[in-house]
Amino acid sequence: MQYTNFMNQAFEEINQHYTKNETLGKYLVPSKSKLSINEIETIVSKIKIVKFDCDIAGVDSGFVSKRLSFLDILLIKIGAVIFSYNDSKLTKAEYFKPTLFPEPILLKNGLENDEEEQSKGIERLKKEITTSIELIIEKKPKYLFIDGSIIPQYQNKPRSDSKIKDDYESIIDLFQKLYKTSEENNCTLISTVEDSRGNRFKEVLIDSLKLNEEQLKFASDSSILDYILINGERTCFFNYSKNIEKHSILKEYTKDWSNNIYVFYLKASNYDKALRIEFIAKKDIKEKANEIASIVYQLSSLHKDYSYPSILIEADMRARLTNEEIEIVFNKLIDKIGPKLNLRRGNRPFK
Amino acid sequence: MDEKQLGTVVSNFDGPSPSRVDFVINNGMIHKGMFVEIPYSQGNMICMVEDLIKTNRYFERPDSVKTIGSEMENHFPVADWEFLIAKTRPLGIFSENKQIQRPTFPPSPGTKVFIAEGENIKRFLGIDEKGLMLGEIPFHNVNLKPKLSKLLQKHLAILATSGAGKSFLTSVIIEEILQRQKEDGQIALLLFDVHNEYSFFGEGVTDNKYTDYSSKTKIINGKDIKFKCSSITPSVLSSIFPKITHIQKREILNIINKLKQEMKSGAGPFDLNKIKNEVLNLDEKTANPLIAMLNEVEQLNLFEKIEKPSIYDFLKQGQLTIINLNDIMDERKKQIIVALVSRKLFNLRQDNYSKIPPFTLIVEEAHNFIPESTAGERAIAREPLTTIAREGRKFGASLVVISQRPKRLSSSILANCNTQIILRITNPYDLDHIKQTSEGLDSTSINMIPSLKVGDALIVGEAVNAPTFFKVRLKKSQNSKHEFTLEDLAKRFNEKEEIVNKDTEAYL
Repeated sequence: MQYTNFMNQAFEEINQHYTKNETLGKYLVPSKSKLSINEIETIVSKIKIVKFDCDIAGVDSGFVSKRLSFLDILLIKIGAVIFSYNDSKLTKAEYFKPTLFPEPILLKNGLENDEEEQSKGIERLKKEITTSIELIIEKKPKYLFIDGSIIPQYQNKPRSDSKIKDDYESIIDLFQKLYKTSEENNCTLISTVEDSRGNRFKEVLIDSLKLNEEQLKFASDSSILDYILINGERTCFFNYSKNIEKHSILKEYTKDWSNNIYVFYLKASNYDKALRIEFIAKKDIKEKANEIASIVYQLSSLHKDYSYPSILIEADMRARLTNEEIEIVFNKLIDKIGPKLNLRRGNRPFK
Repeated sequence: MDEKQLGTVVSNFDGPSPSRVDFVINNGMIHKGMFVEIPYSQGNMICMVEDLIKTNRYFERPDSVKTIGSEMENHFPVADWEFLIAKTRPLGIFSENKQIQRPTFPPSPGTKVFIAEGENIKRFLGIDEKGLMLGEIPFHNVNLKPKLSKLLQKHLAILATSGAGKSFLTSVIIEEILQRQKEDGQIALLLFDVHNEYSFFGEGVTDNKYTDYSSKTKIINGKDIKFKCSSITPSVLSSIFPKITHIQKREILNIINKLKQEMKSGAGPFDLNKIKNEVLNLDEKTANPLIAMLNEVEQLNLFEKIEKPSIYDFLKQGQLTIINLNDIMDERKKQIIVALVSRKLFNLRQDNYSKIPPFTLIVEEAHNFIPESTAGERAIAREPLTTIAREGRKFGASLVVISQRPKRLSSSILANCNTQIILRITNPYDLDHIKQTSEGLDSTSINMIPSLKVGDALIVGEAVNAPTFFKVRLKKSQNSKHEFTLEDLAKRFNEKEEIVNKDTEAYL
């Protein structure tokens, strides 16, 4: 009975959500290519495909962690890939500093639960961004794809009195170093978010079209865009944040960067959700957005049910780690130090 | 070991374990059935490649493969993700000075894997330079030369579907035995040729590209074979007439013994009529059925006063004797010839080693002579051949049984054949029967049998230390002049018919 009620309630909520989005879609679709919200672009435009001949890089990381009695081990593996293209076709794949084994890291002692999780994310970002910087300097790709957001996320940010505050600040510096390095090397940074729950596009719509905020309370950008975008279209670009001064991450950036981070969505397959793209541009933003949309579309529109840049699919596969890999490291430690390192639950002599 | 590393042992769900070692190929080529070597704590581990699997993460999901199709290569480095995994079965471990040991401990993941060196394969399989050259182990350039005694002393079974190369392989084995020198040890061969497939051994060669074995071959037509009447023992009668009673057996034994005694006393050899006359002296109840049996025996036209040829003339060291049973239509007569010849030869080896040389009996269509079921007249030869299979080893009497229907072949015989050479077999019942009766065969090897090409064979058992696939060497002897294709037979029929028609027209 309990489950029946839950299912009915969930179904009702989801249905309402879809209905609202559908209503908004019906309202917007007829004029989506005419209405303008940033005075430069219409809400939706068709992506213009331009063939490309260049090197494109992608960086991703995989990690697994293991909790021990008084410390945690983290294994990080970076997948850094450079694809060379001719007439938009892959001609060569190269791997930047390929490593067979993941790098083991001992996390700090005495962290609170929330800090432990943040620390893992920070360590991972450190490796990812450092590698990206090195790759740009050494390989000079025309585009570098980052898996995930182009800035650190809220969940990476520790409390003001946290033991890992310094680590976090170093990440902020590293990200800005990455932007600078890419600018200096004429490399366009593109970040794609596989499963975005962003609401910024909704905010833009509400503000510019004076929509009823309450009606769209539970909608996210991607759920709204499911009713607006069709394959081969992108949204207009918009600022990463409505209020940069108050944005908990961007406010720690220098204005040189925080004011120039943009977002748009594009649809690269018939049956997948819209893909969130983030990029940095100081001028000719529309042209840059068009250029990026063309590249991302061509790299992502391979499957009717799934759209994600092929370079990041490959980077993800190169970075993928399994629990067995951390078990090997863990077992070697246990061999040397003894079972006391294990959590009590791991030593339970019963099933 | 070959200096070039072939691959590296991987750790996966199946191993490495003492019974399974998988490795990823780093460079070079590998094939199913190849031998590889892995450096091991106690020496070198020899493994056989049982299967090869190519993996590629990009092609794991059929929906993606179908959707992206040929565009995959334009967008992903698919070739970089292709891995060739070899699944191997450790066969044993050997070092310079030690005997071959069973693997009891796995090699470590990450251990290098090498193609096994030819010399090591020979040493591992127990190949003898003076052994019988049966063919070549593919991909290793190693000749498969099992030692004569290991191949034959504890009997050999050759099993294959029709047309897979049984007779070809048998010819190769015969050639090898006939070519042996005295100092290497020569044995005598006796072949029961049911379909006249081997008479070419006895025929002169006109084309000098073939080796002439006619001087080492003697062909006896089954129709000409006569056994002496003293051979009609109760056991012979009971194998021909399974329902013979104990009293009847006792009486016939008494009569034969009496006649033998008279023969030794100077009365000379006796014939069937003499036996019948003695039988008629018995009471009617015993005599009548015995007379009926003897009449039947008489109709076989197999028993006379004197045996022809003498059993002592059947065998000669380094010689092949072919008993051609092709012209005998009566199945029972064939059975009796095989049974009596086999029994007599075995008895002679048992009685006194010097009377006849050590021999190997080659029994074609063995499932007819040694069937699994005891079906009356079809199993007359079963008992003597089974006796040889069971006890022949110590007397230098061995068997080569050849069959295309292993399922119908006695499982006791198959189990006693310590070496089996299996060519292509597709019948699942036959494969199952082989699996149940062969200790050395694993399911992977069994699964490979149906896909063997004509001339490819798997040898398993005493002759080699591990199941080994090999390609049967080419024959040196000439091809049979008595084997015709269906087209040839049709043409010959036409020619004969035309001659008859012409003769008829001429007569009219």
